[in-house]
Amino acid sequence: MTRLGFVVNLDACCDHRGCMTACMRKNGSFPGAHFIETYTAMDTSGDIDNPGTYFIPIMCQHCDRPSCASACPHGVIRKRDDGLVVMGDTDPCVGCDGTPCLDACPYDAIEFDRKEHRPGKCDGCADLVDAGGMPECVPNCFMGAIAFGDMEDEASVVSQVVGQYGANAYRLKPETGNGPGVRYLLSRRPWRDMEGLYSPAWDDPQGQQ
Amino acid sequence: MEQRTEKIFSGCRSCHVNCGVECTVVNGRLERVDPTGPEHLGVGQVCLRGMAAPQFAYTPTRLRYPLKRAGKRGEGKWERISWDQAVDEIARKIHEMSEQYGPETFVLPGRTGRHDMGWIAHRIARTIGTPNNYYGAIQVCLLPQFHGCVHFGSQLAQPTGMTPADLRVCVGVERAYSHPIVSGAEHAMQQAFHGKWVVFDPVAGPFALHADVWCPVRPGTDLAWCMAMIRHLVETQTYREDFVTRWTNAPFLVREDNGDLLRESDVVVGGSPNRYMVWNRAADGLGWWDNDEVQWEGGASGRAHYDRLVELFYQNKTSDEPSPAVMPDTMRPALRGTYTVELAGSGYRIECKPVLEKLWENVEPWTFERAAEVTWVPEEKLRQVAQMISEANMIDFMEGSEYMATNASQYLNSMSILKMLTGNVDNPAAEMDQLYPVTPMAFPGEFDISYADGLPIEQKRKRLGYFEHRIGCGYSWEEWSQWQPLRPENADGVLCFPDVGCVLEAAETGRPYEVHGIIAISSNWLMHDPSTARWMRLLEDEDKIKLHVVTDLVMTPTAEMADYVLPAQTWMERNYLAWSVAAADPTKKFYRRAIQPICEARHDYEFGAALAKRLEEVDPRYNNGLLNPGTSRFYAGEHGRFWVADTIDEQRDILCREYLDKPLEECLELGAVSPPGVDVGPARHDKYLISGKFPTDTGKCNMFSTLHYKAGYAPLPVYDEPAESPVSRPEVAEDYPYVLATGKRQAGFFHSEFRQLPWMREVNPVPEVFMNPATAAECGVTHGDWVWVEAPPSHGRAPLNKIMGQVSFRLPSIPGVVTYSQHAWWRPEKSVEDDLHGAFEWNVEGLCECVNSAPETGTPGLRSQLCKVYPCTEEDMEKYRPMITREQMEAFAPMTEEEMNR
Repeated sequence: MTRLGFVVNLDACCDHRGCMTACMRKNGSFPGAHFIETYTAMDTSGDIDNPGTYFIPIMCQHCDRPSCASACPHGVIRKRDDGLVVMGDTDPCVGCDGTPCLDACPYDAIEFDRKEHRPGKCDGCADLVDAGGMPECVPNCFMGAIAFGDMEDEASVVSQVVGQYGANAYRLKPETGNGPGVRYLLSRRPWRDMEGLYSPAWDDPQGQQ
Repeated sequence: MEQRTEKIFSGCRSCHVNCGVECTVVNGRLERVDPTGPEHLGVGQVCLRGMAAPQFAYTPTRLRYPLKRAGKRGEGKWERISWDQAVDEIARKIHEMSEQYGPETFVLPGRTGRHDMGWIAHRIARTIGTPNNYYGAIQVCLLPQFHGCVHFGSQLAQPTGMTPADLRVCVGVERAYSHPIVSGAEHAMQQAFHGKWVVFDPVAGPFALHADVWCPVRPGTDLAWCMAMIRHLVETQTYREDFVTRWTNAPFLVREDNGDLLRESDVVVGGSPNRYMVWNRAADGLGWWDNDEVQWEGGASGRAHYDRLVELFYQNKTSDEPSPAVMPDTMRPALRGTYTVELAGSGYRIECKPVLEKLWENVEPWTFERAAEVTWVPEEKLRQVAQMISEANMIDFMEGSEYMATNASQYLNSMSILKMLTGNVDNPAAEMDQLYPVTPMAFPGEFDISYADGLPIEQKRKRLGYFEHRIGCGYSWEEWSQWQPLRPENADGVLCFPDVGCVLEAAETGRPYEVHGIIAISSNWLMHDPSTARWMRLLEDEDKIKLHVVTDLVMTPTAEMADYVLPAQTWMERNYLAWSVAAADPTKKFYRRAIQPICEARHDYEFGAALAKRLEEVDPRYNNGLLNPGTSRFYAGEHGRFWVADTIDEQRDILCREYLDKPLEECLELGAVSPPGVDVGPARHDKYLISGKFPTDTGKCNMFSTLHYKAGYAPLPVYDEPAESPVSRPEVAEDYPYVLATGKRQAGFFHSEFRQLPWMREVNPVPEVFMNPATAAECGVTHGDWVWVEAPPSHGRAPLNKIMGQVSFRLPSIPGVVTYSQHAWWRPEKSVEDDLHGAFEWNVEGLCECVNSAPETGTPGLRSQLCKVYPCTEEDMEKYRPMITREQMEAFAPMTEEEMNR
């Protein structure tokens, strides 16, 4: 059984945000949408001797049990057999009552175009993957910090590197039971999950009102 | 219509890194920019700037036609004119003003010289006859590289971090944001070589957060910790004694009576002034090093070997045979102590001390304790770093932006001394690309073909700042250029720039002469030069600035204040023959244009050539004259024509045929071409072992800076507190208590560029103001709040001495320092009526004064002035609406072909 997923090495991430631009270019996402977004896990203690600050790119977590898919009344969001969670034709979304998918995602990973009333999110560049390639963020990380592959395959780079990191390989909000398919590696700083995250990127503030 | 897709290999020049790229062009329109591998001069990746390049090519803010002002400056009223009319009117005005005020009335502001703009602007200045090219940016940007000329005779390569060093000491560098691709490579090198990493920076960005040690430092005080490091190395004798004794002037005796180096002519009647005296411990008496003979007393002469190298140099050949001029066993120069010598003739007895002893006297008070007090870096961290520096084999000192202080020159001197003491000179961590006469230079460099050095000496000495700033503005260049004929490849990498403060003062007061013309070659200078309010007052007064010409890619706030605006070509629209930034690479690289120039955009060269042609009709001297003086490797002393071609490609074709034996077209096809019959040079390091000396006046690395001494400055570092700091100006600090740092960057942007590219602006919509939470609390603000950052109104800063920004706790910051995340911000989403596209809302240059500056180089304290911070009101937010709207963002969408030609 194949289980595609991402491994993001936060020990390496340098906030270059090349992944963000590469993603916008690949997906032609609507203004203000960041299907991948580099957040800063801020240390607001003011402690400059041992700052806990690190950077963390967040995209759709491609959950084992995606709560967005089950919340979608129109069957727009679907989990593929290979593990990727993809969004189909969003025409039905235009008439959707509210934003149930956004509300259901514990990771704020679904973006919403309020002008067109359509959602959008990372689909793991399923088209590229189907053609034998990699998601666009992977080669466009200048640190080589994003890896993608089959978590079920013990010989794959992703499963081996997760194995190496052991207890320093994390998932976002494991308590939700969603079974997120993105692993974060962090050994240089204490892991703080989704606490204190901030991104200065533009999110069409008018659109959010 | 049939779709025609082309893949064109080119070179991204959105910044200095010049990554090889593959451009996908569909039916003549650039669709994508992708990375290439080393076979096409690429590094396998492109950063945000490269990816967003197609948005830049077709941004609706592009200039497309020559424009002439039709209202007042800044009103946004323009008349479209032809190139012929523009060139004709500009030429007539230039001639008329030159006749009335002298050609030096024209000044050319600085820029980032990465589109072969630098030498073209120099050549335009040469054509007009003014020595005033390139002020401002140079004094705070390229300076660290070529300031090293005074110590090493040639510049050390720009530290890239991509060296096999086992220790990197980075000072105010944030490459993750300024040069993301380089940053990625640096990390890879660090991992490969298990290097340690120290970062001095008031804010811990990605660099410091990944470092082994982060030293949060008060901006402008780096000189102080350098003094402490030098002290530690000397005190513990952990410096490289062998290198220091043999290859620097550390053992040379300094006369206590006049502070100069002791020469043989001082102590022997008829002795040589080029024999520098040392105290030879082996003989308990004086000994000498002879720079002319390349010889230590009692050792073999390296003169004949050296003369042979010079011969080879002019044949573009080289040798790897070591010089015989080694120090003999009978010579053991003292590095410490006081010695009495008798002067020739008078017989007076004077005391002398070796340079290292004099250095010790300067640094002796700089204990870790004192350095900690001055720099705010904890003492134990300084001790830790000192230990690391003592123990490391190879150190990459990456002096970054923090030298932008009023003690810049002394800081750079101390950095050079750290390199000497640790032996990091002409080694893999501190490469010296050009070392005369070991490295041939087979292709003329940018500076050579700019003919900037060809002005008559009396005209060069009219350069604004020449008398005030003797290291930066031309005096030391006159001396230096006698040392050796190799010119820096980068036209702007030279110690002969005008000073921004002196240019401003001359334009305002007419002293020492009147400045009435500004010709800006691809420079958004109003956004990136300090003291915005003073410049605006000048531009608004047409009796002061009578002619302001701007060539640029997009309509900038600077262009809005011009009389003529001329459309230039992006890198995608021009072929390129690469000149490297710092090195003299014998292999020339060629990049092909991806698309045809849009509308009437022209290469700056074509403007210069057309201008010269038109001026020549008035007076032939405008396009003909002395090319370069006799000391230069190329065109030395010849009279000739400045502009030998009408277009850049014709000019390049002439150079390619002459020096590469191939037409330009063939070179473009090949990509990389080495000059025929040229030795590519011996080993890249330790080249001084071949020459037997450094190309300086002493033949050694000038630990004691002879040029500083001659010009009347401290030849060995002396600490000077920044001109506007809480320590130097406590009375100002009562109202403006925080140190303002401006040297950070935001991912993607390049100085004032790219704010109008959606893929970059979405990533960084607004400036962040980094503060420590405790400092923010003192100001009554917190993370996410919009604030005013205000500088003192003095020194002409009012009324543009306050700007908005958004407080950010995203990056850890030292208390008491306020760091503005990016300089030269403007808001192209706003109209010209809205304060020149929001030119003054977020531009931190308005907060920087340049009356106070480093005496040696004129460098203003851009990274170390004072400010205060207070919250914006609701009315402010309503008035300025800081967050870009979707409508504004969508208006930045690239133009279609139809929109472009409308």
